[in-house]
Amino acid sequence: MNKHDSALQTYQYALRVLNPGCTGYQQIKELAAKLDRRLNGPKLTDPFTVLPLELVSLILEYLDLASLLSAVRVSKHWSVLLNSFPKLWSHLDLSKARRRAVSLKSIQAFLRRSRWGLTRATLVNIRPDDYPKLMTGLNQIRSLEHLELHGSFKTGFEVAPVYTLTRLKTLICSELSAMSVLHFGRILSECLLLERAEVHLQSAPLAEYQSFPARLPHLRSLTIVESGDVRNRAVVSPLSLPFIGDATLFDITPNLEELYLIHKTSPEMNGMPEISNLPNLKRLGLLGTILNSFPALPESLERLSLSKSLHNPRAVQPLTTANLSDMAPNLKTLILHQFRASEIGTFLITFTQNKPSLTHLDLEGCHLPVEDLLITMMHGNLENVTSLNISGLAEIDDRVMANIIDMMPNIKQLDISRAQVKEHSAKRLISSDNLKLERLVVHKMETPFSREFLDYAKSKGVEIPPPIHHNGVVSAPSFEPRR
Amino acid sequence: MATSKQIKDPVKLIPTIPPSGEFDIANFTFERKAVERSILLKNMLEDLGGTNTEIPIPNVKGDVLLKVMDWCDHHMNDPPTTGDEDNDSRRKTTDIEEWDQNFLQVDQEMLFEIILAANYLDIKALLDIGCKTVANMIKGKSPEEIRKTFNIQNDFTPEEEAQIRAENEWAEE
Repeated sequence: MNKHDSALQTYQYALRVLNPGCTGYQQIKELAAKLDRRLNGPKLTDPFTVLPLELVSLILEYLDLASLLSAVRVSKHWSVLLNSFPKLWSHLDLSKARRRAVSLKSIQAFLRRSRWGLTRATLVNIRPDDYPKLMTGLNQIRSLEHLELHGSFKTGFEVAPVYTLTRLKTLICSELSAMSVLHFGRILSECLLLERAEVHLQSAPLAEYQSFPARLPHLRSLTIVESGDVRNRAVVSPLSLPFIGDATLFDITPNLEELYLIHKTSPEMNGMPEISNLPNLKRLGLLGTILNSFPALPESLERLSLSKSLHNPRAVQPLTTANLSDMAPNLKTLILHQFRASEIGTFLITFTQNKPSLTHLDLEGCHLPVEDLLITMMHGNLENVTSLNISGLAEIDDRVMANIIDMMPNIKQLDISRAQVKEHSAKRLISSDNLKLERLVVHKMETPFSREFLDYAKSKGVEIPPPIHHNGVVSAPSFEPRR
Repeated sequence: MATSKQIKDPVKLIPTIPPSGEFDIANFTFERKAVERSILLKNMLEDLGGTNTEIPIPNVKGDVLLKVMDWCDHHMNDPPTTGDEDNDSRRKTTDIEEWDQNFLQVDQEMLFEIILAANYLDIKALLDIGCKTVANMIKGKSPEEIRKTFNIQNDFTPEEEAQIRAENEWAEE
């Protein structure tokens, strides 16, 4: 033992035998602490032994799920402590799983910790056979408000009904978890607190489109994606269901703010809901759909998306200037993907003249003749546009760049991916004194831009997003893009 | 330090547990505005009225009090927090501004003492960054790394450890 260690021992001995009130006690204590620190480094202390429970809980609230699950395994004390705060465990988020199949055992342990008081559940990364069992358990948890289903229901919803969860506010079902119209109808009838529903629905025989709700006063956002089998003539797309097709939506969902109807296979849509009197409707998307008649749009509308279905590019949406130009005077965002020249050219020119409110214009993948685009820029009212997406348009060239500089002084975000634009004209765009460009997307350019250009953009404060790599790792399932 | 500056509206805080080593009570005079970062002291000052500007502070060691008042001094002109930021958004961000990060680069004992003092004196912003700092010491670590950080003994039996591992490792990196 060296002399430092023996000195420390002497101090510690003195502290044990001396009366804490006597002279010199404080001094010895300090010397002991100082020496201890020198010899053993700063003292490490388990924070949860020195802090009261209320502060422990404050700290734990800052931890993400993975860290909480790690902390549970530190020691018995930590395990007991973490298990005594059920609120920490109120979101069962299996999208955070690092492996494909989370065991039922792990989920049970989680549910025990939550004291069966779950408010949110995101179900993915579990074996299809485990779904019914898990759903049977979750159906007992009446506190659930948010349910996301992203896994495969081999056995269907009949064994694992969702409609018993009457306090649900949010329901999201992605493609693998597509449910039947019957089941969804039942949910809408029983879960009257629903605020947001995004569901994939299977096509079904017409006879099944029956039970529909009287009133869903809380519903603010509704997205229905038809994921049926177009070859089966006996079935009808869920978007033809009476609720959508015939009813006046105002009577059922007076507070709707967002409505997306997305077709993947069948392009025809029989009838269109009456939406013009929905006072709060801000976002409307009719994707991959052919309408017999275009619906009247409410004044409140800010975002309109009429893109074609990626799954069925043949579907053609008749756009006529007459019915759209005077409607939706407050429209800010217009999204028209994948349209053909004959459908869009004249429409766009007239439409933009009447919409000074427009700030976002997205024409990705349209077959728009460049002349029409130039005319739109010159005669349209694009002064307030801050975001323009013309990626994938043919013949986007240096003339278009020059027009953007002159006609769209407020542009901040520009996507010209897959265009024939040369570096020098993109450079002019960035260096122009008239513009304050913030972001320029140039993926898959015909002549890829050089390193030097990227550095130049950076020096001018313009963000150039790096190309997107699809490396196959899916941590959280993404919903059908509903732009 | 507070003493190096001209103090316009001084308040004297008397720690009942004096700091270690020699200390000068003059060091414990602070700007009223800084002292008022503590809701507890602010209320006391109000109750005492304008004349009395000497407050005894029990429960907080002198050197911890000095450190806490350093923070109050730096943040004396911050806009007051409204207190209703605690909305539903769980898993709050653990970002801490740079000055505060440096301020909390202290050993663990001091850090925990600061947290306790901030709680006792009711200084919400300091309490928050203190708790965030501890959370950041746990975040993203394996159980073994956490044990090392705080010198905690693993007291599970091998069987218990295997079980708790099987149940809880699904979200691990």
